[in-house]
Amino acid sequence: MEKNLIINRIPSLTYRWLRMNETNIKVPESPAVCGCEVQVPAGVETETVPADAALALATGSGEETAAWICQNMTEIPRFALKDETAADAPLRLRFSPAKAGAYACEITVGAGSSLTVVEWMDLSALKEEDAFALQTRYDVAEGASLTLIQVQTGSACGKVFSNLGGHCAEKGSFALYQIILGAKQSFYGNTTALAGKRSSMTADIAYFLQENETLDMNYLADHTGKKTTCNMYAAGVLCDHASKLFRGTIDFKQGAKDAVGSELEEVLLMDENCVCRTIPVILCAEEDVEGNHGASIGRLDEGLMFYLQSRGIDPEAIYEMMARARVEAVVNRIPEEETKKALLEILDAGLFRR
Amino acid sequence: MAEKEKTYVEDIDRRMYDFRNSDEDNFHLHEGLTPEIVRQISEEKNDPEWMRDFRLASLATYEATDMVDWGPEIDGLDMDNIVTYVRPKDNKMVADWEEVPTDIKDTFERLGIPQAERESLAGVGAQYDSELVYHNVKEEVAAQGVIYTDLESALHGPYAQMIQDHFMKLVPPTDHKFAALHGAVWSGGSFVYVPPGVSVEIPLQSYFRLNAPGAGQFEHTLIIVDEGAYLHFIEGCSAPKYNVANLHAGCVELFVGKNATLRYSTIENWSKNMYNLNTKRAKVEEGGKVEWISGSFGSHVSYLYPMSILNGRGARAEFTSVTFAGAGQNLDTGTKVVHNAPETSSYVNTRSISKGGGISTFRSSVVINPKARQSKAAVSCQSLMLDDISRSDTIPAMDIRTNDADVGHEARIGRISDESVFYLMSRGMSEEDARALIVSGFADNVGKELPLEYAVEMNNLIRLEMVGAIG
Repeated sequence: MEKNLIINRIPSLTYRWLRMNETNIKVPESPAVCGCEVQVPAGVETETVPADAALALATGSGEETAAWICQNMTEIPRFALKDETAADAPLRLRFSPAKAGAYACEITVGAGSSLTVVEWMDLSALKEEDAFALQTRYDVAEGASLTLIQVQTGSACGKVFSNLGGHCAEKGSFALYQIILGAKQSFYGNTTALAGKRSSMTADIAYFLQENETLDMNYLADHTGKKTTCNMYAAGVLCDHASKLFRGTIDFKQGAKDAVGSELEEVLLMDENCVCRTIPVILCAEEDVEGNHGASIGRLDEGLMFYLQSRGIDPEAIYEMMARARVEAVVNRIPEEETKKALLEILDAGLFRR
Repeated sequence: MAEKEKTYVEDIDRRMYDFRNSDEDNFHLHEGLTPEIVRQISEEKNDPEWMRDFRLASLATYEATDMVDWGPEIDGLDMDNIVTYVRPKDNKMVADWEEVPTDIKDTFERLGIPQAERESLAGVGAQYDSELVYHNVKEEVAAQGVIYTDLESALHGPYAQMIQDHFMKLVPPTDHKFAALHGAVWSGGSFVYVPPGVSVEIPLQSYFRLNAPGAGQFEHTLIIVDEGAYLHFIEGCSAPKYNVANLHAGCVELFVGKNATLRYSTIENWSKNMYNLNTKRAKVEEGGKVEWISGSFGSHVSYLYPMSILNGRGARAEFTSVTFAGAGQNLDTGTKVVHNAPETSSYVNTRSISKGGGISTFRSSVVINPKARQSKAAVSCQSLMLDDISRSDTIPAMDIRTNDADVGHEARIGRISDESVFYLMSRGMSEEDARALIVSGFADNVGKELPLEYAVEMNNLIRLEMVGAIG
């Protein structure tokens, strides 16, 4: 049985005829709860919280999506790092589901602590009719830092959802890395509430889509604290008939004096039937802020193509090389070596399936 | 540390526009919107049968269309209280200012229209409430075959078929609710035709004055610039401020032929009780170019997004605008461009200033369809907020459906960058002079595109006084 779900609704709506305000999709009516392999480093405590006592934090894909993901969960795991503690290794959650399902968790990082979390979704066992959903809520206390690395692989899976939402206290920082490779339809969302003074959020996102794959994104940096900063960077490659919709909103609320927000998107369109849609938004109710966004979208530079072909490199190899470079630029920013190494191996094996 | 001084920016000075004539003796239709009212308007206009049927069908479309769920609130606009048709009791359109009724002539004298016509225009159309009261074109321009006439009489003359072939084809009543309203109750406006190869060196202008309280103005401007021709068309508007809502739901349709150029300049200075729900659209053929120059300073609420449809190879659109949203204003403006043909290009350059609780929203869309190979689009929007009770939002969207296109977008909001100030100071300027130079240039993107007289008027609307630095 399926139901309709409205997902990734942009905070500030625009022309309806563009069909970018939100996405309406069909999802399994009642997703099963699935598990994952967890490697918990020393210092991180694992507990479960009742689902109805979960962190009341907005998520990027919206309340309806959050409720759908958790509807069959009575408890949600919470991974908590105490104050003034540095975890000696990343917290790793590996998802290798054999069938469709959903998983939700919470991550809290105590004051002055730092934690890296790797969520690796290997969806290669799932089929086109399957859907997998992952929801992560996070709370970063004063002076703490949380780095969340998400990787998605597995091209046969029908629908993938990653729904994030969190809060940063004073001088708290949240760094998000997302590498999205594969799946027929992917839906990603994140909302970070930058409530504390000097709290910050960065998002580095890379994606490679081919065949008829689609990616639908909705990111929001909600600045309410003073001197808060955000920096969103999304780099991607579209091939064949792939399609992407990126919604990125920087929202400077009143009171967020001296906040700075920037957003940059770079998209490489390899083939003539790709569809690239983007809506980078700045909402501003505060005078003393700096906000900027930029987008650059286009194909491989003809001069560069000519140069490389004149050096004996055939066009297919050039496409592979440039696509890899786009994704690798973000992979190289990941501050966790094991994940980076694994991703580089995937890149070495080649991205193109054709 | 000494407190940073802020740049002082004066409010728009509206006193020269805020005068009114008595409305008592004028002819008014009843408030509201019914088929009967639409039929009465059609009778007043002596419409051909197709236009009357068009109006009634548009009314049905209006009733069946819902309001958009984005954009500023228009709860204060109640169509049951809007009079859709008001005309002077001695309604007559003339070509000599001396024949215009005294109070109306004085109105346009105060606004400087006759003077502008004498000194710098090739023709003028002056609309007062729902009717054109004056329309004239210089002989030498008419001798070139240029047609500049009121739209209503053109419905019956030798251009009747041309009008029927073009009227509300670019902006059909189904486009949105207020396009449908316009289709039902439109009145006044101009028709311009420029023959092939003709260059109209001096601008034509239409000026719209809405005097009656609680009234709507629904003029329709239809311009056809034929192959290889050139025209600069300027429109201006104003109204006195009342405590009741007024509505402007005009429509502008521009057809730019092959290798033709049309520059369309607007200085919008409606009063702060006005709901400005205007629709403007241009279709550009091969090698043609449309240039939109837009200054938005008035209205209580605006929805205004001039749209360019680039239908021919090499067609081009440029959009340059400045928006000033002060206290009590919510101005939602921007532009839309659709690239439908190869090698088309578009360039958007906008500025906005928000002050005193004003809300300014830049809203745009750039669509590049699969056939628009080797097209280019660049969007640049900059916003300046002068206090923390105002708002400035930018909501640009891009939809690109070919890999053979170059698209770039940038937006900035906030304060003057320290790097820019440092650069100028390193060239010998004082910090204050450097900041003054940067800010005075901020709104200059529109002023420098206008004829001098209009740039002066625009600069009279915004006076930037530099005392220290922004921020």
